[in-house]
Amino acid sequence: MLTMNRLFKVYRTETIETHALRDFSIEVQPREFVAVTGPSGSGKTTFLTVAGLLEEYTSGEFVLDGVQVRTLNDRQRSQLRNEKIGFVFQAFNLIPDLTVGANVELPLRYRSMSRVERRKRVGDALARVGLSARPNHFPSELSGGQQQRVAIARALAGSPRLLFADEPTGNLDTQMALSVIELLEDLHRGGATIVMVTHDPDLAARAQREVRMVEGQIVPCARPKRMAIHGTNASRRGAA
Amino acid sequence: MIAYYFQLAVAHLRRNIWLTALIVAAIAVGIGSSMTVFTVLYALAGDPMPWKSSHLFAPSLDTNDPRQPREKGLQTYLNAGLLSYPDAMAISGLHQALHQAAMFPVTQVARIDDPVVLPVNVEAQATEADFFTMFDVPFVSGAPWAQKDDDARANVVVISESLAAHFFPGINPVGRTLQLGIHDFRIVGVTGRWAPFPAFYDPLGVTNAAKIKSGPELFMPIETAVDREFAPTGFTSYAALFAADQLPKWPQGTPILKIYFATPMFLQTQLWVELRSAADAAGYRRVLEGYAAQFQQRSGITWMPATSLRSMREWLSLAPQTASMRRELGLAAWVAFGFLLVCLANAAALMLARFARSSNDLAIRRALGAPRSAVMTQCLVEAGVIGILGGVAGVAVTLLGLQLERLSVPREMIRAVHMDWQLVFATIAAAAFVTFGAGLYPAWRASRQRNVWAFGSL
Repeated sequence: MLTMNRLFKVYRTETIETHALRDFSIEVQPREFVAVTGPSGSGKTTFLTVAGLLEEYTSGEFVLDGVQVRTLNDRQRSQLRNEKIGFVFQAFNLIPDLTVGANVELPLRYRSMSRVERRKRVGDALARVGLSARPNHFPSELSGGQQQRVAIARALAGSPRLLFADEPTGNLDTQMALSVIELLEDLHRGGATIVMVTHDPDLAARAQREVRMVEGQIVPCARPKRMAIHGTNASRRGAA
Repeated sequence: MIAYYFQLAVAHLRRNIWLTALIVAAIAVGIGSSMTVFTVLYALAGDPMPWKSSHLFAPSLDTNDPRQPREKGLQTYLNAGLLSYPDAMAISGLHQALHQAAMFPVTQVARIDDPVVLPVNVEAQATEADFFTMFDVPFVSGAPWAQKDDDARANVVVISESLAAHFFPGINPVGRTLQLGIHDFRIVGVTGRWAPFPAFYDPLGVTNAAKIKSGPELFMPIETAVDREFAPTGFTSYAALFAADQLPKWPQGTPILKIYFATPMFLQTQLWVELRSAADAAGYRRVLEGYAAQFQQRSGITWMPATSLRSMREWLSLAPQTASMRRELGLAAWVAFGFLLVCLANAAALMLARFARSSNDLAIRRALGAPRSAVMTQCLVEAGVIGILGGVAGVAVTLLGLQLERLSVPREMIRAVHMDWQLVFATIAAAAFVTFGAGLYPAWRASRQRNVWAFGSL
């Protein structure tokens, strides 16, 4: 699904050269749920921006769903991002001026899709996150957990092959966090490929595999690889 | 997609109403001041007779010694294309054009033999019979005088409808008598509205400004005016250009006007000719050159008098009445243009701030698959909407500016300095266009925003 091989990402200023990703290699299989952990400044953000096609990398090889990313121009990268990638942000990143329905519809606006098809997809996505009754509400009228559900619905509306979640429960209280992580687990069980960046070891433990980053590189992770998360105790996060 | 961006722009503008108002005000002031100056310039560049001006030409002849320095005032008269009375009449008398008419403005007191009706100071035009045909002067009653009246120096006049209404309310004045000075004149015709702008028949702008917008009030044969010693309007100031020792020697007691009208050095008569086509101009230039050669031979001067034949548009660009205003307004145009640039720079800076405030939303859109071009288009549509709003507000500023201009420009221009639908649309379109231009950089910047922040600090 996603392959990075000996990838470098260097930020340069007049005086400083920062290697945010250094000889970075990772492979994420289809239908896999991977947690990316590491201390602040370890390169997790950079990994997400590069993997999400929001920034270019300096050197190395990056293949996303069989497409060599290096050769793509901005329009092609945007199209690939729009059609194959969904994002769930820590701060939800909903547009406050738009209703819930319009926010969920957002990625579909950049496709040649009829209004009828867009509405159907929005309705389906909101139904999956349990917010069918709220399409005309504004984000400010929802709780944090509901806003994150809207963000997940927005990510799902485009039927992406790969979902990037950045600290998806970071701004939520325990109960809401639990409902969101259970939703992600449901999506994974439904066949979604998920890459989740988190500081939370408990949350990382719910992924199939944990990848730990230090100084732009992947380092061996102490946690044994979990073979499956299906049927795990959903209250574990809440207990923590 | 553009409709979607339009909806977003309107919603965004309503969210930041004060910032929107600031940008709109900056654009409105800049575009309004520019359009005001542009409108006045446009009025000045107007063609008084667009349907036939390409056939109308102003011949001129400069018999002054080219080696002598030009007195500044005299140069003004040369720029106006004026000739001496004898030269104008002689060239007109050649009848080498389809129509020809020499002319100068005259101011006289008109009265009728009725003590109840007050005398009126009339702005008249001394000219030839061809004037009316050449310049399409409409008649509501009677007809122009005939060429034989010109030759006979007959006491005939054509008056305007408004003058007729003053002296002869409810009565057809044709055949009645009007007194000018001490002379009686027979009215042969009454003109309808005829007030071309710019007033090419008054090249020095000497006619009473309050009256020129309604056109001349009275017309009389030019040779009659000279014979009755009616001085051209502005004659006193013109005569003052010449020192007494420059005047030709005439017997003691000769009236100054008689000397004036007989002397080639005095330029105050205008000559217009109508040619069958613009292509005939070359032929008429040869006629002028032939006259100049005859003049040289006749007067024994060593230099060949300079001739010119200017089209109506060429003449308007040089005529002092319009040229001086054009120079002033040209300067004003640069100032207004500079002001517009300053306003647009302000608008661009405010749009930068506006789009920077939207960077969060735009970054989200980028993350969800919007290419840079889509983000840029969204910003430019917003800039365009701001421009249209600025244009609408600019129309109000232009209206205000034109009202102020009408207080300061010569009154004969007032009619031309007005707002019409063309100007309304031009103002809005110009505002939208320049704001679009001013929004290019902010929009480009917005489309190049980095997205890293969207993920927070990990």
